[in-house]
Amino acid sequence: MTKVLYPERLISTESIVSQINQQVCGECIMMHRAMKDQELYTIGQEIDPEIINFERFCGLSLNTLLCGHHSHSKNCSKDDVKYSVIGNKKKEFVFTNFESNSQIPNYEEIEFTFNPNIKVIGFKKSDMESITDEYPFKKNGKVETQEYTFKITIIYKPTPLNVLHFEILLEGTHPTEKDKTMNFKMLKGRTSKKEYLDSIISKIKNRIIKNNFLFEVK
Amino acid sequence: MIYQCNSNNNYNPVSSIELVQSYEDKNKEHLLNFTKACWDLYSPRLNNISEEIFNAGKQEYINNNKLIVERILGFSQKFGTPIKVSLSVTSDASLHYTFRFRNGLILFLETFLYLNEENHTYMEVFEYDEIIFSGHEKIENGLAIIQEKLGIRNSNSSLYNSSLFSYSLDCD
Repeated sequence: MTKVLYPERLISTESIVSQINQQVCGECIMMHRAMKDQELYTIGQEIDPEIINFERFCGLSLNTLLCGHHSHSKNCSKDDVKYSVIGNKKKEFVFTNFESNSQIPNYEEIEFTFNPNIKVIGFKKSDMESITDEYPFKKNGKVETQEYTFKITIIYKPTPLNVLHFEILLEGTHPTEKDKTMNFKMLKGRTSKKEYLDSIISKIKNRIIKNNFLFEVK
Repeated sequence: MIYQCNSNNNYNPVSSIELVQSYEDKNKEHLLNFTKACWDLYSPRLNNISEEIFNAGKQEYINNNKLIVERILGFSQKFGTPIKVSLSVTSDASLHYTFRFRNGLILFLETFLYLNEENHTYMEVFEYDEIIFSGHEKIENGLAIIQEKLGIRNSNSSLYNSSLFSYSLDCD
């Protein structure tokens, strides 16, 4: 019996990483793995905010479907998010940024599963990145009168086994203990653990629903 | 719901009051039934977090859903009944309402559930792309502010608040 190998087209190399970095544009599609059995719309026929894992929105993993006119688009597939790397090398393969060809693995070492039943949700990169607004800072039940600004950037974060991997970078301008300036700073962690993120996450959900820009990738 | 002016000479204000009251009651019943269906369908997601969060969500729904529905029906004076209504209960522990009206008016209300402190509600209202209101508010206060900003007469009395009242004035 022939062993099924992990798709070679998803393995990062310095050359391919460089090409994708140059090719990705605002019109390219970003794909997100939806939760099992999740419908895109509620019974009220509005986008169900549950479709995106907002709890993990800071650093949310995405894969790209490059626009058809980009040469590397032939190596992208809607099925790319259906692969899951398993085994004792998962940390090295999945949670490590790709930096050099020294990280190219031996194919035989890659253990993975493929789940064809995963629902894939997509959006245009520029639609998500166009979401920016002011937000109030709220802590311990008190809302500051001053408003700050948040923005979303979709950044390229290839890993050794996923050359098409991107992440959501959420940034806000409220001062922190480490940085008292009003410069943009990366917001991290689970959203439900930080009440100041409530209004930002609510605003993002509302704009996604209002502008109805999510779709199922089939 | 749009109420037509009655040009009939036999116009009877008392029966019109009863008719409009009946429409309002039906709208309210419909919205309450619909939001309950949403709650029943989506609230089990909270159980994936914890039983405590589910109970907090249930209490929030019981305490405020009827109030929200009643206040939203107050919008019908000016904007008609909502053309789309959605309540989602999400795994980041929130109850998220969407009310879409004609003329590009859309109201979002999201309550984040907390176990160790009061729940937080964040509201936003858009008229097309323009934000009419956004902020953290108690639900009743927030909806009253929104009604005021939209020029909607605010009263808890269903008769005083009914569209019949303005309807009758319009038809004089």
